[in-house]
Amino acid sequence: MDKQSNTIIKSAVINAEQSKVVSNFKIVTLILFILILLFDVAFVFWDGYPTISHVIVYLRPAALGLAFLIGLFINNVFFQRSIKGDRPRRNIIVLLVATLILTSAGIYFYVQNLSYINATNFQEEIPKLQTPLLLDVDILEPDPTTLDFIYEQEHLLGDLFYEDYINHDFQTNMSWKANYKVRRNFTTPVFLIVLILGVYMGNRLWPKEKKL
Amino acid sequence: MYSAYLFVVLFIVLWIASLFLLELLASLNDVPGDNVNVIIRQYALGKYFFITLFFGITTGHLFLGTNTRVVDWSSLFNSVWSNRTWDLIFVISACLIALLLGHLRLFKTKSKKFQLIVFSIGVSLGHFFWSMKIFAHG
Repeated sequence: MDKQSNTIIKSAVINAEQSKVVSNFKIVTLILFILILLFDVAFVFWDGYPTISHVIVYLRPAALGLAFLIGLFINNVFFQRSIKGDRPRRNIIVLLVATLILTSAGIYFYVQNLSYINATNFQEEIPKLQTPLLLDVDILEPDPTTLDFIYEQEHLLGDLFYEDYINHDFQTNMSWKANYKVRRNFTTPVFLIVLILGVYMGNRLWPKEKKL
Repeated sequence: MYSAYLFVVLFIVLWIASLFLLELLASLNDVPGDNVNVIIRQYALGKYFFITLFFGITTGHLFLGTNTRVVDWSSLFNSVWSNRTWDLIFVISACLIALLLGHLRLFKTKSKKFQLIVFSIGVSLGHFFWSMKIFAHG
């Protein structure tokens, strides 16, 4: 790039940085960012309403694409490398395709893997749905906190079971309630791998451009 | 009540999506310094590396999480507060300690290795000490 082009780009950048549109854009983004955090804090203290954490937990495994996007974001913030010149155009296509594939896979699992299991055959049905290291089973209904409430109010659970419940082993010992709504979900190592993949692909395909 | 709950879910999802869209738009234009990531980076690579720790903790909290409790705070401190409250106190304290250490300027915070170590510590804290997979009594 010759000297004249450099000067043109430099002045264009300076103009853009001083532009009201850019400054308004920054302000809007930051306000959105701060407001969502404030709403989240408010919802923590507001019974019956979800927080960001609850929404993401409820949406798993559909949040697989989100884990990848957060990986990209983490790279962009903390680990981004620099290159001279432009990023190849195909890089963004690769990242968009990867995001689409992961999001679609997550949504497919979210929609397809909803089941109702009778408590009497819990011990048979749960292992069928599980695949070690890949798929786990989440109980959606009744809510674990509801179970806890029922225990405290009506003492429906025996002491032995309650100990198991505290030890988070209640799935295999449950025998007092008729139907459970469960969903197959990816295990935590899968989410971790997708997150690391997001960081790695972001680092390789989305470096910072050094033009000046 | 249920429709209000769904409305809040939709609201949060759309809000997060709009943030990502804005960030994508800002990334695609040629104007430097208009992204949230650049603004956050400027602070995180300086003395406010507690931001890196916080991101790590949030990542561990949202996408990982152990099923078994590592420390039973209530028994340890013989407290009436629930373990979940103690979890939150623990992670807030960790961020405050990082903020204090940042002000003392003891580390080369611009190093990527340092940021990676702090981020990994954050993920471990989020996974082991602020897990969402532990139920109400956990």
